[in-house]
Amino acid sequence: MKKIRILALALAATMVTASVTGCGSGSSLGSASTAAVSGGTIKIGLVAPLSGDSGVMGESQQHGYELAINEINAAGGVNGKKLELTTYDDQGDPQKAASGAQKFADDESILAIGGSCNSSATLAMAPIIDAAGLPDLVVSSSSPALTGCSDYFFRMAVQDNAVGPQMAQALLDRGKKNIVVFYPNNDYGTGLNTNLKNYMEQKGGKVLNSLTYLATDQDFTAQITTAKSLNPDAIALCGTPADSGLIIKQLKQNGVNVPIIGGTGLYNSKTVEIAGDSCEGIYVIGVYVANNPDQKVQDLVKKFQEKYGSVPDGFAALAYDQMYVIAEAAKKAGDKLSRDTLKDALKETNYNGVTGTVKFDSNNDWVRDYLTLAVKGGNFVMADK
Amino acid sequence: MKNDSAASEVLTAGIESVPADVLTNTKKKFALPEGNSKWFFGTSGKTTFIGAAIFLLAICFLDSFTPVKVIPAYVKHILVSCLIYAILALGLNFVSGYIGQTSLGHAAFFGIGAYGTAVLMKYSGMNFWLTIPVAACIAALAALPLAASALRVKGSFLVVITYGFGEVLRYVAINTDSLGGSSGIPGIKVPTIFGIKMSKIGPTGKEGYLILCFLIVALLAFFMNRIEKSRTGYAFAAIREDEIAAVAMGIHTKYYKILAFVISAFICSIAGSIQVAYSSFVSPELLTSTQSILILTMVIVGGRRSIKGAILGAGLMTILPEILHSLKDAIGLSFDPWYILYGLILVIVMRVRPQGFWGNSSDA
Amino acid sequence: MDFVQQVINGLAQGGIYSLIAIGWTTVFGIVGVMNWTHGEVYMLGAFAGYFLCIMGMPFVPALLLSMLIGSGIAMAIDEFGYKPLRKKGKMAVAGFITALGLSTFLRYGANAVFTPNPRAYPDVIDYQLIPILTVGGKTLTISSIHLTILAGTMLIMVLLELFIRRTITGKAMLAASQDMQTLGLMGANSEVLIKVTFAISGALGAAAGVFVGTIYAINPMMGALAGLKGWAVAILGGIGSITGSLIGGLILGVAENLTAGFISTGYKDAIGFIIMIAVLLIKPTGLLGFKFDEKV
Repeated sequence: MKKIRILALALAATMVTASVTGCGSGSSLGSASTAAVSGGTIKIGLVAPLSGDSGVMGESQQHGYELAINEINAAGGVNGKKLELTTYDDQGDPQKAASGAQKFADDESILAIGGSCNSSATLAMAPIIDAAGLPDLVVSSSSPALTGCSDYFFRMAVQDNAVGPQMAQALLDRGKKNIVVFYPNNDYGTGLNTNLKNYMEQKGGKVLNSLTYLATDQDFTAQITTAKSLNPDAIALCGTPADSGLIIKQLKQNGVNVPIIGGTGLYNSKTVEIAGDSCEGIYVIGVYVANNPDQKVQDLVKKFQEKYGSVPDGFAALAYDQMYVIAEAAKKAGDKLSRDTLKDALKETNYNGVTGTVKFDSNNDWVRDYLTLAVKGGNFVMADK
Repeated sequence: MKNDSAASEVLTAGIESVPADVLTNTKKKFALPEGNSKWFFGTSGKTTFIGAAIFLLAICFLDSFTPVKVIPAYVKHILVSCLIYAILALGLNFVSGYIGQTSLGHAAFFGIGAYGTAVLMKYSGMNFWLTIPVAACIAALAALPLAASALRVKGSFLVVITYGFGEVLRYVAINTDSLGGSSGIPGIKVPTIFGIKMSKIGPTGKEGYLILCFLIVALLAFFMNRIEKSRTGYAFAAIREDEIAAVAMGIHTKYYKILAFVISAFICSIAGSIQVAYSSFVSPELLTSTQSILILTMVIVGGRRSIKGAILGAGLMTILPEILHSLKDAIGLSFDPWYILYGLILVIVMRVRPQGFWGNSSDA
Repeated sequence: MDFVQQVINGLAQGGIYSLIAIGWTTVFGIVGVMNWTHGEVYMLGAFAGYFLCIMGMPFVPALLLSMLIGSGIAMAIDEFGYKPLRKKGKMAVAGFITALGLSTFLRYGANAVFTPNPRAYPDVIDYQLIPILTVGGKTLTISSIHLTILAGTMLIMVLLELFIRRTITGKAMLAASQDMQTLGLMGANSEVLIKVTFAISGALGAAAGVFVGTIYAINPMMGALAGLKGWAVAILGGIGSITGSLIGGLILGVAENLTAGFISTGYKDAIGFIIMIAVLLIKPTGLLGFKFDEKV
């Protein structure tokens, strides 16, 4: 008994000294990632909600990645190496997202990761990827708290401060000045609502009321009754397909027949499927449009439909471009490919994809233009001026 | 048994002239679970503690001696989660183990600790170590209404009240702007200890938390072991086994019930504070019912009112999903099988061993 | 005027909660287990109805078939989940945890099979706003679907009450809710009674799922919150009381809509739990319930 204790104390003492001496070299050990590429494959991780309430978003991102990877590999891969995707389902839970990020950060065969979707999950991942020097690319998570959070964090998400004003302007262009906003009580919704409201009020319009809801809600009659009593010229929706589809349907059912405009989250065939005929004529801000005659877009839409049975939504299209951005950067880094060189190459990105020309600014954000679309015959097309 | 005689001494201390047969019955009923002194695989608590401590230190600092990394940060990350959940499970053990009431709202106390620390550090710049007791006291205060309702209702009804309590607090967190709304509060400063940043101890920055959590778990295990054999512990047992008899024996049941809730909340809140410091981030997801259910299943699968059961249950429920996750990659499954299997595990464990792995068979 | 409209909307919404709650309350009243899987039966019922409607089956047969499927699932849950524990006499905590486990298993199993995508039923019921009253240029309305559901719930409630009061099986169920053991001694087959209870509960859960599916959208996660609200309503109305469940559902629906309309939409879901906690603390037996003494 006594022996064990002495042994333990001795061991503990040596370890504590070792830890103190190890402090200096510790940081360099932690970020050593030169061996990021080994063998014939380049591995990309994806931390995203693949089940649970926000599972749809993660699934879109995964599909976009997979399709791009298949194409890149079919065309010979990156510098002769094949890309490979491995996923981690975080269910939208920040604790799990952190575990996933840590897992990928330690696995030195992982070159870069994507995700997560919800801002809270991405915020939990940020310190980990920063410490590990692991490039992380996202297609959503629009929280301003993430702006410039790490040199390794690249964001291709839609910007609230661009989409909000564009929604307001689209309404003002059509002579609609008194509007009611519906937004889900999360970052995406509140951010978009704030930007939309500010712009609208600057330009002489008026937001009669901003009505909030939980992203998992299904019944909106309470909010709609309030909206109806205000007699707005138009309604703006800041949500995602599952909730906005129902809002559109219930607005029409309750006899609110004013123009409706939605943010980028609505650009999804699910919106049309859930809202049914009520969806006809609504306006949506989009990152791309499926009937764009551009060959790249047509290829993507055709292949995506063949494989997954639906038109790619905004997330899928962005994810598809994002994988190409990673591949281009990896090509540029060439023989010296590592997490660090990839990060440097990503900063220089200038890639012309289906959602536009990707370029990152000093905060590693992609600042871009958006399209105003409308639903005609159940499809998204460019809106008439 | 030595424990038994101690038990009767404690029991008789406060009660005059108890009929002899009542006393023998009570003694039988309150007999401590077998092997309580033999803590783990027949070893004593002290040896187990030292063994675990050596193991832990080895894991923490092995990398300082070797030129290449042997133990990935991921393993340490999972271990920290394990230990944080172990604190939570031990905390819940007071309510779900000792006084035998099921609570589905303990994530609320976890959340109060986390939000308490985050808010105090962010808005008042308070030292992290000071925020722990402050947040824990807030949690203990918040436990009072819950404890008060436990005096009025029990069983399934208390389950619902605790569940509702957790959910309402989650909605408060989501709907309050100063608490960061649904995205939470990011960028909590890394705490320092003796002037060294917690993230600078050891090669990966997780060692400090690992040791801290380990010490808290060990301390709790010791503390709970002592409580079980104290007057308070026997009062808890009496309330759990037969409340009416407990009242008849002169045990102040209301006081002890409230005490169990308050201690429980206090402990869970500590786990929350550490979680915040560790992830430098807090969000309403810490308060979800999934979290509460997870903590409860750790206690139940491990074995109610078994200290090692709670610790090992927490370990099992945290490590298994990660193993399964790697397995999923290996066999190329398109979905994460953990939750499906988690459900099945609960069903099977309850079928085969309703008292949990390390539980007392009379407890089923 | 808006206030009255919100109350009407709430009543319409409350009909669905009542339907879910009756399923909870019958099982709890007779078997004494907090059947956490009820939300999942509701979800699976909604999916069954969805696939039947997609295949082109008319609404009413699809509804009835889904109810049958729901009954089957609920009975299977009892057979494989609760019955072995009941045989061992370890229903208290083990039963509750088994329910939690089964519910997680079914929910995420459905997630793996059906994918997390939301789905919408094809238009099976004609949606119309039925005007009730016009005052000062404003018209109070209720939707045809909600009216159908409310009427359906009332009908089911009446039938269930008749079944319980007038048939031997029903009377046995009522007796079982008081004292299962004594009933067994008097020669009743308690296992059959329990299966009938689960069948009724499953059918009602599935019916609620199909109704919700026709108005809103369905996804594998829909059972979690709906199931819980059902339980809250069952508690509110008083466990074991069918009328109580109906009243509780209507109260919750109205309270939610008024909260969303006049206080804060963010607290819409929280209000249900707040009311429930308040009722439990003031009157632990619920509005119309009788006293249960059990341990979980």
